[in-house]
Amino acid sequence: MRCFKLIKYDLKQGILKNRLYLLVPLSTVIICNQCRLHLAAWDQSGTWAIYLAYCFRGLQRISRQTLSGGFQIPVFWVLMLVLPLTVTLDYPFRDIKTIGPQMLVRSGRRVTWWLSKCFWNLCSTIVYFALVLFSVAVFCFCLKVPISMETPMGSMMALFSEADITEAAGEITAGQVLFVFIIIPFSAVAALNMEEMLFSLIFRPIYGFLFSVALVTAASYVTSPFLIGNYANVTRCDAFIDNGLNSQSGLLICIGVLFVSIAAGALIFRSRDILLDYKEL
Amino acid sequence: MEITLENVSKTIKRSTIIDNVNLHLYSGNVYGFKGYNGSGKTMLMRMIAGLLHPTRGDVKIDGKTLGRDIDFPPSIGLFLENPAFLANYTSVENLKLIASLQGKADREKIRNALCRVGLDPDDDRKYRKYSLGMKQRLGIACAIFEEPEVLLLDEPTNALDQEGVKLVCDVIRSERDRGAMVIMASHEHERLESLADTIYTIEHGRIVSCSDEEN
Repeated sequence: MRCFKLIKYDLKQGILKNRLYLLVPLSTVIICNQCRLHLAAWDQSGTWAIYLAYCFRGLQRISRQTLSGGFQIPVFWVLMLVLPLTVTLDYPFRDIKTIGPQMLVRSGRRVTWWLSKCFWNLCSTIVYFALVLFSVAVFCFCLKVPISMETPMGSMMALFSEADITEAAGEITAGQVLFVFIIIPFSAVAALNMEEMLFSLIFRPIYGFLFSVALVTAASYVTSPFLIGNYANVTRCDAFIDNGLNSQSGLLICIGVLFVSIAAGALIFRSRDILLDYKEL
Repeated sequence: MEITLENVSKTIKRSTIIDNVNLHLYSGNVYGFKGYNGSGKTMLMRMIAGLLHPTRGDVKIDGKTLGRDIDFPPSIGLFLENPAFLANYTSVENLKLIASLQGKADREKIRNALCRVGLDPDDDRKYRKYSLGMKQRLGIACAIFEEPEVLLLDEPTNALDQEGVKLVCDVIRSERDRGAMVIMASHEHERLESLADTIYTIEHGRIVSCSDEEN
């Protein structure tokens, strides 16, 4: 019962009262507008699924060939992954500096407190994705772009022109759109957020954030199944890109990272000293 | 209730903060810890609260070891040095939020605790508008409003005016009379003398004297 009350408290303080979420629709609209300009250059109008794919488009696999044309940091993709890291960065550690200790001792168990924060973290990612999906839908509605899960080949060619796109790209089913454009990026972002909270617990929130940003940036350069940022990079998905990363394995790896972070955090927090200033440590 | 500290030591970065402390504390008493800044009073309080783990030794609450059998004392009121609350909430809203977790205190208990420390429960000012003394009073109210069995007060009279100090002293006495165990840390010797049944002096993390033994 106390666990549910603690979760209710965390959801209210960490999500409803978090104004940083306002940045999510703003950033999404900016990226959607960029997508509109990109599609217009290819004489395409796109669909809701295409605009969503653009948000997590990322960068094709880096090789000597692709590098010969110069390397461009995928700014919008990095933004889409760093934004949730920013939104969820400091709430647990801000909380422990205010009424957190009062809630902690009343919760009775350290693990309860940590699990509540993990649940909040996961919900935070869900809210982030819901805001992204909704913002893309509103943008499409305003521009009279079809709010559908269709992926016309012309639009897919425009989006992934630099990658080795397969013929399957034009025949992606609604289920695949859901899996590749939503579930896989969601699981990658959720794993990154949880891993950031774990590293913030071990070191400091700022180091946890910097480490996670470094992981995201590394994932834009290096195509590795162990850099989970890669799975949020739609341009490296095997569903319609030759030599792409396997999405199913990606999902399992992300879920693995998520649960390992939760379990490791629970173990560490059980023996962690609380309320020591970092200077004291 | 009985709190026992057995050979408790705490070392941080090779520096010994608490050095082999042994104590037996019982309900219905006020225990005072005095010592200069950095002597280890606050660390000891945090260890009894279950927020810090001893490097060596055990803290036991009614025979149950903190960190092994239980994580925190089951009924504890905590006043930490420089307490902080949610800035956009009033005093009643802050306490209601904290009370919601255990459901031990109703609205009447919250209002009563605020009145006891000299705060107006109908004051609709947000916490961020509070003066230092008011924040301190709210911290005391937060520690007592659920009528805990153990009350840990770390420098409870800091930043209080004379009237505030008198109110807090009355609160401590009435909590002891209710049967609670009050453990307070202060560097004000006279204040401790007037309130505590037993005073421990801490220097360099060691208990160097106990008023009971002196008497």
